[in-house]
Amino acid sequence: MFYFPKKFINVSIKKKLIFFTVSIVIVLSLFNIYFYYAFYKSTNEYNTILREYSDINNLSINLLESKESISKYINPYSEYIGDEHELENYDYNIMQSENLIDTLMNSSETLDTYLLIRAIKNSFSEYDSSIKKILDLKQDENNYNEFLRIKNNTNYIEQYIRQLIDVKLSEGAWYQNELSKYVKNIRKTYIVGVSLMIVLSFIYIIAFSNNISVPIKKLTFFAKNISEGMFKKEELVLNSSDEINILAKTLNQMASNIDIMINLERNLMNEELMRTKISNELSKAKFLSLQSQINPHFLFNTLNAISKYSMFENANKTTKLIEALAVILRYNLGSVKKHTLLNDELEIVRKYAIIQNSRFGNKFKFEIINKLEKEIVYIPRFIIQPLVENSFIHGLEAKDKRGKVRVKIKFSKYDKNTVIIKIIDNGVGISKDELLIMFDEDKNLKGDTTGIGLNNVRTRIILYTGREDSFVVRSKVDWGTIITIKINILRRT
Amino acid sequence: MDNKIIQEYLEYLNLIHQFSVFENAVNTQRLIQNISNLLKYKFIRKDEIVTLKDEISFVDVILEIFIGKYGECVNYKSEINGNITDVYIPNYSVLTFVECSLFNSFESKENNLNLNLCIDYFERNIKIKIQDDNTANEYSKENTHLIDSVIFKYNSFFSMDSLIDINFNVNKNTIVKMEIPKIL
Repeated sequence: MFYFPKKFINVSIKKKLIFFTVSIVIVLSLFNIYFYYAFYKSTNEYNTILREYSDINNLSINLLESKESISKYINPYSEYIGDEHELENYDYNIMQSENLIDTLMNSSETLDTYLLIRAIKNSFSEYDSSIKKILDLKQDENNYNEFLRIKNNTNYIEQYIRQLIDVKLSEGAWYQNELSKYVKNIRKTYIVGVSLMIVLSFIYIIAFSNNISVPIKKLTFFAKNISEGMFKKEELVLNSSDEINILAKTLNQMASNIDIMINLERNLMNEELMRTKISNELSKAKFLSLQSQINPHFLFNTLNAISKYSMFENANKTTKLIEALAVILRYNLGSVKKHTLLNDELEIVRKYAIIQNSRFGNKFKFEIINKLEKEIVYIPRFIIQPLVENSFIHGLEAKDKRGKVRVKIKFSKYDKNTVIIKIIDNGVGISKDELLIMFDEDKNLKGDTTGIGLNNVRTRIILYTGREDSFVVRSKVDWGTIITIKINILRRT
Repeated sequence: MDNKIIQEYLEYLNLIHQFSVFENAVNTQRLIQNISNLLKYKFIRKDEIVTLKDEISFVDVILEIFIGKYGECVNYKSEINGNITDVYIPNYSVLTFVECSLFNSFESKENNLNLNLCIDYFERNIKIKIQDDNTANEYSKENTHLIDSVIFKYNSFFSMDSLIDINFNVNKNTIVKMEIPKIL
């Protein structure tokens, strides 16, 4: 295949195109000039031959007319004898003849022609001087006889002229032959030149397209790699310094920049993940810290001891409450595992309800309808208790009448691996504004036993299930609230 | 957040305490009161600087809870110079070691625990010595983190190092020596 030489590769595409166009225009122009010149030259030579033929012919006519005019002027039997007009015609013809002879002499190229023309010129001079001599004499019959003798002598001029015509004809034939050869050569040159130009143009176009299409293919492949996210592939290197190379360098730079941006983004994401991880670890650490500070065993044992004391002292209600608190405390501080048995979580909820009911003088009715009682189902920790607590604190605490909280748990109708948990209360309900505050951990400062707010539960459930609709709050002011959780169970036997 | 949770529990304890009053359960009331006070002191006042007197008073509370829970199982002796109990120390620094001694003793010891607390001047500084005779080689792992944080807090408060020295004497006893620089 054809490629541009190395030096030419580095020239810009614009310059390559200009070079190609200018080259074609120059070559075509040179061809035109050359053909115009050749045509002009051959036409000119042909015209010269024709003019010479014409001049020789005119010379012959002039000779005849001069003889006729002078004959009329001199002939004593002629009605034009002594007619000045005839004499003027004679002079005119002689003068014309002399001019023609001079022209022919100047244009003569061969010695034969030159000698013939000189002979004609001398003969004309001799003829004219002889006539002039007769004209100076008296016009009588003797004179006229002398004129007839001179006139007969002019036959050799006519013979010279015929000879000149023959020579010129043979020269013309030779010229014509040369001219036809010349035209043939021009035609050959034209064909060869045009063919050469076509071939060279073809080579140039192939080289040009190769030098453009190959880098463009590379560019396309490179751009495709970029679009597929492969930024770290080898750098695109083209052996040229034209616009495509500039484009390649720009693409390299762009790929590099995108790579840097992506790495930056990745690093930021990693940092964010790290921050989240650290935050989680921090939460865990806080929990552990609290756990170690409280010393759960000590606290549980103490509560148990108090429970025993209260039992000895027949303080049944106190006993029940202390037991409930101990269970809640054990659950809250007992483990940092992510999952727990559903029944354990519900037990905590029951104990919590006992305390809350005691706290508010049995103002609330609490019930759990669990259709999964016999199942061993694991769920994320602390998802039901905070919501029940929310119902008590935000829903029922402010209600004057007896309130009710119900927790309903069942399998989904459509998927037996999905559990639906509903926390229903007939409390004061939550307005949209209040709900927004509840979902904002920073603003929701109302106390709870776990430090886990509504938003925390919602976020964890959505993260756990990956579905926004897995946590739905429906509430109406003065009517109540229903929180529905759809969650995939971790293990069910 | 920690305080928030503790306050909630304290509310529950208060509720239970009220029920115990209604039900006339005197010992229960007393224990709940003690545990409630201890929790308040330990958590609600955790970032406070307290007097040595306050700190020592809660030793009695802890012991009472302990005795109430396990019976008369601790022989506690204290030798405290009454003139020096107004000095300030970080909250729960002495009590942490007392707590640890009590908790550890029940993991390793069958007999009664002897616990001595001595506070007096020594070479112009105040020295606190907490000595027990439990046979555990060192405090349990659960307490290591807590003790480290107390040592850090204590040294940071006095801007000095090595103010607390803990000696575990294998199968014999544990002696904790705490120093309070005189300048304070």
